[in-house]
Amino acid sequence: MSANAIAGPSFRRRGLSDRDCAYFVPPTHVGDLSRKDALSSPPVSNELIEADAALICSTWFLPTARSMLRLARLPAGWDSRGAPRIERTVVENALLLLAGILEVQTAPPAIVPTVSGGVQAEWHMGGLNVEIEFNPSAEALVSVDDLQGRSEWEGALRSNIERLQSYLPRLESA
Amino acid sequence: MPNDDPSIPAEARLLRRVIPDWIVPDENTKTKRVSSQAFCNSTGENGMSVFLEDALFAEGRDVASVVTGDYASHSLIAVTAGWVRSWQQGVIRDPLPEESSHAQVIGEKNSNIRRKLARQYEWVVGPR
Repeated sequence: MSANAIAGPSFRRRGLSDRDCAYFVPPTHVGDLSRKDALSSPPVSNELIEADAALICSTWFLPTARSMLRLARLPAGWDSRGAPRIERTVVENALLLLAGILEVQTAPPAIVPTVSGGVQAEWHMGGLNVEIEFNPSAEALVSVDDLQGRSEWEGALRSNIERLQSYLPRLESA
Repeated sequence: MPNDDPSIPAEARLLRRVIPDWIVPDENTKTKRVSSQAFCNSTGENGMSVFLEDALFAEGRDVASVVTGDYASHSLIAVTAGWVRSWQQGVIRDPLPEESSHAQVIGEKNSNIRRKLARQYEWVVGPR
């Protein structure tokens, strides 16, 4: 996987923003992006993920993108039954939505495949069980089970973003 | 209540194969747990594939025999028939030519039901 950032050579592209970008090849450690590591030309790869440098330097982004891209390489029937492939567009949309919600210090979620060709991000930490489900033909759903407050709720992600964000301090890596 | 076979007692253990990708870390308990996504119906079907532990025993088989060969990377968990029935699910026998102990947990499994089902299971064959 490669990622681009706002440093280095500029390329025409589509992506999470329309700013100039550069391409980097992992392993790129968090907080380690440097112009000297930028590639001189855009890589030809279907595993390219485009994101702003600030996003790449966040705690969660690269591990999450890698996990999702790995799942996007699973063949149809990966569940030993009839599960479809996970399309790249599902991964891109999931990353785009998460980028608009999560904080720089948010811990990387575990990423699991769904039998409907989607992915689910989930955190089990900070006394919380949080799941966000991204499926190709349905609105993203979020659920929060607060083990400390003994409360539980779920709903459409888009209409519960602020509510979800109120839990993010508890989803930071120690 | 969806289709249900009352000859399967509430205490009967239903064994579910779990692929490695459905096992996630749980920092709250410092253990690994099974994602709620492991409690989905198979694509295009109204049931979740399981195996009846009693049927395996009746054949003199070890329960771990269902996670060998092509499934050697899978883990195995057990839930009771009573537990799944408490979440509006039914349990029916669904013997296959190659696996006579096969059964199905029938019923819609929306995200809420899946999370509830995932709250109570036992590891039979833990993460590999």
